[in-house]
Amino acid sequence: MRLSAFVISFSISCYSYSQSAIKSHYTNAYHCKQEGECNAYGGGYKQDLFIEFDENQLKWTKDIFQGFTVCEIRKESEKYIVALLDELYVYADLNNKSIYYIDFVHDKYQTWGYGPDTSIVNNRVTAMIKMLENHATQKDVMQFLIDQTVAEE
Amino acid sequence: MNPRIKILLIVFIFLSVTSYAQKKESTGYSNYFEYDQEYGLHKEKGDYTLTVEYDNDTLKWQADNNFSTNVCTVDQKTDKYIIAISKDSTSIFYSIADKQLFYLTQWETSYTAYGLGKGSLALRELVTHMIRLINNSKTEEDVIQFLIQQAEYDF
Repeated sequence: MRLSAFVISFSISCYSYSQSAIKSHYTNAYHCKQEGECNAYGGGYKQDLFIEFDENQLKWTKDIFQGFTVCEIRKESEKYIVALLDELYVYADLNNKSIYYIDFVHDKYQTWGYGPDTSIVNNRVTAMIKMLENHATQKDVMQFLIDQTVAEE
Repeated sequence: MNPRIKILLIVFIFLSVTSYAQKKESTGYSNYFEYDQEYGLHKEKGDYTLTVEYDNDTLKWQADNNFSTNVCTVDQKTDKYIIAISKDSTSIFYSIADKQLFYLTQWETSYTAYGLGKGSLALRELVTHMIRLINNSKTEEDVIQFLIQQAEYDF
């Protein structure tokens, strides 16, 4: 009995240690379309952004009641996470508490970004689509975001 | 025999055997991409299996059980990728991490890039880029360098 109690308590400790959660916010979602326009959505008022991760999964949502988007982590550091969802890359900037992702609709790329620093998010989402328009790969774009995050230190 | 020498000998034999050990990987995939300089991008949907078997000297690959095995000589091998040369001198690039195989063929003056294995979007992205490089007067070596650069990303 004592042993099982210890095992349960140890498992809970391990779980709580490995799982991290960040509550962030954004005022506008930034979105760019390949060979199209970049726009801001959201009305400019403060909205929640939740980011959770462990060693395998990155989860994020704008609306906790609608559930999390769950992605497979491909690279993780103290400052950032690179993850995949159905072959499309998702990037979490843990310094800026922001999320970026690439979408592929009707044979064209789109880029999205959410985070508290509107200027950084807007610039990066625009830079991401420009890279894809100039024939960079998704991996090249992820490396660009990593370099940006690391350079901010 | 001195016990120390015995241990060293066992370790040496073990290392030699493991470094030469053959690896066999089978990957199911549903899209196969071909980008022809003349005819553009072509996607073939199906239920395929890519089987790759390699050691330090040889890479054997088979795109489906119905086709014959291609035997190539390994030219360069890292923990992330293998470059091998087929009997007809075609360079075969296999990304170990992404389980994707690429090659480029030339018929008269026209090139075709092939990509098969895990995923769909990345295969499409890479074969398109391979032909884009050729269209921009880059060489087959430049194409291989591009594939190396992509395979070296650790995500």
